[in-house]
Amino acid sequence: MTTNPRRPRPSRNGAHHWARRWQAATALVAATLLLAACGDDGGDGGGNASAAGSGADGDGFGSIAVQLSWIKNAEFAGEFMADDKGYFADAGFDGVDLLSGPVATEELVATGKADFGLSNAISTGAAVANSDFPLKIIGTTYQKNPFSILSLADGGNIATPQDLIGKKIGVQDPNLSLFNALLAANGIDPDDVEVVPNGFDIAPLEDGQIDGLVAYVTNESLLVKGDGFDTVDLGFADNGLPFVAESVIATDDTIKNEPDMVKAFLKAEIQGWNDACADPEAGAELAVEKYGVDIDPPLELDKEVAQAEQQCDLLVNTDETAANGLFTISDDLVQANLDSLAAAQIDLEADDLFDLSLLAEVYEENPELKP
Amino acid sequence: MTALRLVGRPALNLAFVLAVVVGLWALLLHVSDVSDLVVRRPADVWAWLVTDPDAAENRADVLGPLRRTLLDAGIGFVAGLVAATLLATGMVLSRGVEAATLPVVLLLRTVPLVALAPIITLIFGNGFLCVAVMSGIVVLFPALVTIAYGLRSVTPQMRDVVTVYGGSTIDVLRRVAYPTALPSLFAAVRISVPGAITGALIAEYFTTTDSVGKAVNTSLALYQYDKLWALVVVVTLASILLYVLAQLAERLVLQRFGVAVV
Repeated sequence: MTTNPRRPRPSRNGAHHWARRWQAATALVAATLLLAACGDDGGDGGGNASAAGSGADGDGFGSIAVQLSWIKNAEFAGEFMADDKGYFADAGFDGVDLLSGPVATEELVATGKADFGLSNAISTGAAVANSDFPLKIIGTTYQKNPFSILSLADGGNIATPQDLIGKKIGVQDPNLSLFNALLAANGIDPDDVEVVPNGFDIAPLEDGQIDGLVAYVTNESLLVKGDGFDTVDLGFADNGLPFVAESVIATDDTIKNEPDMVKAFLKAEIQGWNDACADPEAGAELAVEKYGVDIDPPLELDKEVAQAEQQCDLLVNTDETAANGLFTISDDLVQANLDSLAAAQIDLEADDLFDLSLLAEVYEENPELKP
Repeated sequence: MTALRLVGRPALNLAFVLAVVVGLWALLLHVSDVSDLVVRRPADVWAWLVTDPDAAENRADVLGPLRRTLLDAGIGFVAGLVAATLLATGMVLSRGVEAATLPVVLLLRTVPLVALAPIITLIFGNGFLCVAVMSGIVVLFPALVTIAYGLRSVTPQMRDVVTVYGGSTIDVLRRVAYPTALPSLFAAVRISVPGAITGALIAEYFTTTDSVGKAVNTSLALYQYDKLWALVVVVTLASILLYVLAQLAERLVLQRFGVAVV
């Protein structure tokens, strides 16, 4: 719950938002008051996707649902392009229902309420390692995660991990372990940093109540800049925690039983993101005028264009994707992800979390998708 | 009355409530179609806490936060009950106090605590005071109403006896009203136990301590469903046990004061 209504933003991590937390709170309260444990643990957040391909006729794959990790802003420019330009339709889908987040993406995909989800390696890794969720990452939009410690140049001015010492940092509960992993990766004693519970609300940072905030370099950072502040970002990816984000996840069953549908989806996604990075403005416009038109407070075009440009420059396109194509994850990057997971005390092997075989087939069958 | 009879009824209650809780838990999961990925059954939680190779570690993971939550609930329990007793006394002594406090207390009661929470954290910070205030608010209203009712149930005849012998209003309160209100006070204690725990859990969402309210949150984010369910179970058990203990204390004290024990 944010303490300031000025800019209400839900929490992130592609994992949870406040409504879900209160749902858990209500469950707890109900448990103590009624002396009965409650069985419903928030599996109802994601619409009602039919099982993928179940209604397929001929080459069609029917309708599918994709759980996004955040509100429908320019973060999903590629998905909007794929839908708007008909790439999903060309690939054989009657419709692709883009469900806005943030919610427990892993839970919704694993329980079949969505066919695909966009999440990050840490969140999906936690679900796989801690509760044996049958999920795999089958490709990724962001080669680097956009998590950062955001601070004001004339405030906390946190440019290096050492600058965190003695500072008051706003951390969302779902990101606590991630934040602790950042401290561990940089040899900082958690006792030297004061953690304050905070949502993704930027007001406490702008008001100086906190020195730094766990944020997205492509979102909150731009929002604060838009309010006229000089910002400093301490990127997690550049400071010992390089893991992928906006990664496509699917269940083992889907991968095994419907590989053609998965490949068709990945192909349309790659087409969409190729277009989104070729014309960031168009993707941002789709977010503001079509897909995210109901968002309150409304999206601002300038910020969305900046986000669409920045995410392509910093996160989506790298030297490796220039060589191998978008969505690919090199062996080195897979290892870097496993190391980041280990820093967050999640121990997994590459095969536990990644299945990139279908993505490789997509590029074999469609070499024109590569740049 | 024998000690056995005194303890017997609370013990029976405990066994009955536990059976109902476990039965409802199993039944709810049986009839609902929640995915097994997120659901844990009584046997699963038992295994995780008791028979697993890592059980000792798991228990430490859960009991640490529970200790903190019980402490938080204790703070709220004491804060709420003390405030309720003082206010109830004031209300009985003076209509003015009643007119001044009751609307405020009613307001605290009718506005949902989660809506008040951000304001409370702004005023009192994220620490000890915030927990005391939030947990105390949950306890305050039911305790206040119950205790005030008890204090008012002094019969005019009893009051007259004290007055005739030259006693003051304070004497009426001390010698007649408080003893008369004892059953009400204990009723307030009993209903305040789960209330204080509820309040503490809500307050803990806003504080940084290693508590059940916090741990539920983080284990949900990390998909640690075993831990999540275990947390809910231990806090529920603690709540039931404390309720039964309050009931037992009630019977012991009331028996000593010669008030009929049902």
